[in-house]
Amino acid sequence: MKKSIEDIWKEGFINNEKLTAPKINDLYNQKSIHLVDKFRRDFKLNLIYIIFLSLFFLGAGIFLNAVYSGIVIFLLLISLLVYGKKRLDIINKLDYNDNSYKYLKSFDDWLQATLKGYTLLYQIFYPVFFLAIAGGVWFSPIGEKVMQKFPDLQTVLGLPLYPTIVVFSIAILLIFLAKRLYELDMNLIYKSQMDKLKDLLADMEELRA
Amino acid sequence: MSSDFYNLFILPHAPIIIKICRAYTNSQEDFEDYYQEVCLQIWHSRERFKEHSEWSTWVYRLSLNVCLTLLKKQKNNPQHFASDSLPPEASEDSKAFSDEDLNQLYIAIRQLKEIDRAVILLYLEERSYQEIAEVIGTNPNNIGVRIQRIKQRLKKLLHEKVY
Repeated sequence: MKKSIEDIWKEGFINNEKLTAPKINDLYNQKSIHLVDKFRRDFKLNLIYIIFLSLFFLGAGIFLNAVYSGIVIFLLLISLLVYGKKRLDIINKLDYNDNSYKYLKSFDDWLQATLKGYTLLYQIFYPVFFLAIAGGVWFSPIGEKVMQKFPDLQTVLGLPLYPTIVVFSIAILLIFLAKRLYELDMNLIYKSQMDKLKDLLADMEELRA
Repeated sequence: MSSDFYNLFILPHAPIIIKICRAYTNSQEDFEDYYQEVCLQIWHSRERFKEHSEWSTWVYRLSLNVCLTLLKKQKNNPQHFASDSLPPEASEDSKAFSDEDLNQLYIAIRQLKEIDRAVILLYLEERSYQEIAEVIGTNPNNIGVRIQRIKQRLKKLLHEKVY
């Protein structure tokens, strides 16, 4: 070799000004697009999962001779699916060409509105789901066996009085707990992404200050 | 990031940041991403700078850490070649510099282990063993021996490419 590596280095960088620094302009754009894309993918997967789950409950209801419960749960899940699809259509319209702060801010607004919408839906979903399961159990052969074992059980409209009071009390409680339960559910699936979004927005707001 | 901060505290060190980022990336696109990430991390971490060391030493250390972190995150990016000679297409942007010898040297540097790349870059930038050790987080007594080994490997890689 003719030159030492030190010479190659020195001669190659005799004029450091020739080194042009790239412009700092696109990193946050890339990060925000990546984050939203990932969220969108997971959201879509979750909707597909709901389709399978609704079919499963419908099938299970028919199979276990609790058809009405199966249909109710199926319809509940379909309502989640329809709402989710509507929200997905909105997120798909987010404009990549916005600056990254505006893009992420729009996404965050979408997310907050979606969470609010789902919280309201779940205030109906959880109690009705619970009632459907309880009703399914009662009107299934299990319920019949209970009636045979306790023939003196006090009933109202064919339902055992005290267990029905307990079931309805739990359903009412679920209305109030729906928000908390939904948050737990969301945290399981989206927590890391929501934290990233929060950090990224905080970073960008600091940069804008 | 304010342009004042960039101009005052980062731009004077841009040459070394560029050199470090070049050594850890194989394409112009990656290089630009790495450079931007380094600058942003310097800006974010500026309050953590303690004046135990020079600002420049701190910038080197942070640049290396960011590059090493990004490198780990990158998938499907072959970092090492089994052969001891330079592969013909070792880098997508092997013509990043107009000087052919320098290009070959960069390609060779990219064949080194991640830490060895950092050591040789700092050595070539004429940093003291003490400063190199401080940046890498090792004992300065071992740096000299390490540099000799890295230089031998680089010479071997370059020799096999040239002749």
